Amino acid sequence: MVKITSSDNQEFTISKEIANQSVLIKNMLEDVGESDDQPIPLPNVSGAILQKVIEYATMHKDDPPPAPEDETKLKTSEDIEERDKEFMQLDQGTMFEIILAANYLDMKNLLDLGCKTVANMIKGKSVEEVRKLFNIVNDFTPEEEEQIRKENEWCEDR
Amino acid sequence: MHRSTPPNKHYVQMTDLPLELVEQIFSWICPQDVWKLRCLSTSLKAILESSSFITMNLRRCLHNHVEFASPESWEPLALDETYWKAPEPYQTAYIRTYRNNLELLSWGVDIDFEDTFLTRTSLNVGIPRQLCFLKHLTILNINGWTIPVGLANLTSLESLYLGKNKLEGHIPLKHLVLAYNTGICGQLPAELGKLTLLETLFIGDTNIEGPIPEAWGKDGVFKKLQRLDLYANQNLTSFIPQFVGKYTELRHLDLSDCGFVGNIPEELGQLSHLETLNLENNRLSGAVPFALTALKQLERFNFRGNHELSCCVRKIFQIP
Repeated sequence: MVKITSSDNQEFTISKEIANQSVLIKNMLEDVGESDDQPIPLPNVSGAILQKVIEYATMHKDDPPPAPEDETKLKTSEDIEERDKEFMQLDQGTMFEIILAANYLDMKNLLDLGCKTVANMIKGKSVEEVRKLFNIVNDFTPEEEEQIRKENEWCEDR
Repeated sequence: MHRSTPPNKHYVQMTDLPLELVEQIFSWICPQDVWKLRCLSTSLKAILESSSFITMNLRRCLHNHVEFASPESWEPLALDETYWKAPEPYQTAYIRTYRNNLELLSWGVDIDFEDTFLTRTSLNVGIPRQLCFLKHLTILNINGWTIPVGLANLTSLESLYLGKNKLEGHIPLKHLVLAYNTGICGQLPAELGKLTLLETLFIGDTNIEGPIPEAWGKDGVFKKLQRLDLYANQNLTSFIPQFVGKYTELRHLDLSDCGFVGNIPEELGQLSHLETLNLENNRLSGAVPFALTALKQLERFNFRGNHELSCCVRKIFQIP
């Protein structure tokens, strides 16, 4: 078993196979060796988010290791397992924090899942809707925006 | 600007994410959709136009196109049609990532073009300006399209076929060198006259055919031309046009070893900056015009090998 602590000093005890899904923790464990039972500090992740990340890792602990040809397999953002979709039914703040945590902990599958989920929220929406959804402030002048839209001809050509 | 709740300090937003993560998110959206999202904000525009983003985006979205298995093939891919007319950053990334090994490229080829090339592209697009990234291109066959800028960057190019090309717009080309290419054939394109900034035109030792196009005689054509080299084009059989005398910036004129016939036009005497004049080994006849005595800057000239040409050079150039 491996002990990890969050930024707000919550301690979690997890199995090694779950811990190893994070390349960051895996490398740390290799560095410190087996004998050390000091908890691993993860100062960039809060307890609440770490809880979610552990939930995800537990759900995927029995996944087969990715086959090498997986890399060439068509993967679109629609390509999400049902259980992952359910897992990502979160508020935006938590979702972005999970993306940050996945990036920090170096968990590629979770990072891709988070990014695909956000991408899917963007798809099919108008620019105005996307701005509203993610609090993106339009800092273009109307003339500038018009100019950019003029350069979008290629997008309609298919 | 609509804001439903004041942003909570602990509420992470997309705009708080580091740039690389924003790139990752948008890279899952297909190129023609994501390009439109540049108008979200200035910072997103910068991200979505960056070459690192665009390369990632293409890799994600075009990954499954196994057609790329044979990258030196120049058979047009379905994707070429989309990406050769894409905005420049996408063109560049596409060519660099997928078409980098292209060796032969044909555009709008005539039906009677040699069978060995087995080609008839139906690409209904212009030649991409980013063509200059095709470093391995050895044969470029362009017919009926605009001649791309940046030909000089095609360092592997051995053969260039030009025909029925329309040159449009402002082309900042200053030096056009198509020498030692027996692969170049066809007539001299009249449209080269639209390269108004051209200082060097060097088409030597090719299979190009005459005559020199009439369009090169229009006012303003080759106004900046300083060097005109058309030597060793055996099939260039015509008169030397009088309008060459209008290229008043010319320093060097080399029309040697071609098939020029007739008189040397006396208009050449107007080329007041001319330093070298080489008309060797043509089939010129008549007398060397007296008007050439006006060429005060002339340092070297050569009329040898024109058996029907008569002159008293000593008299003309007042050589004692």
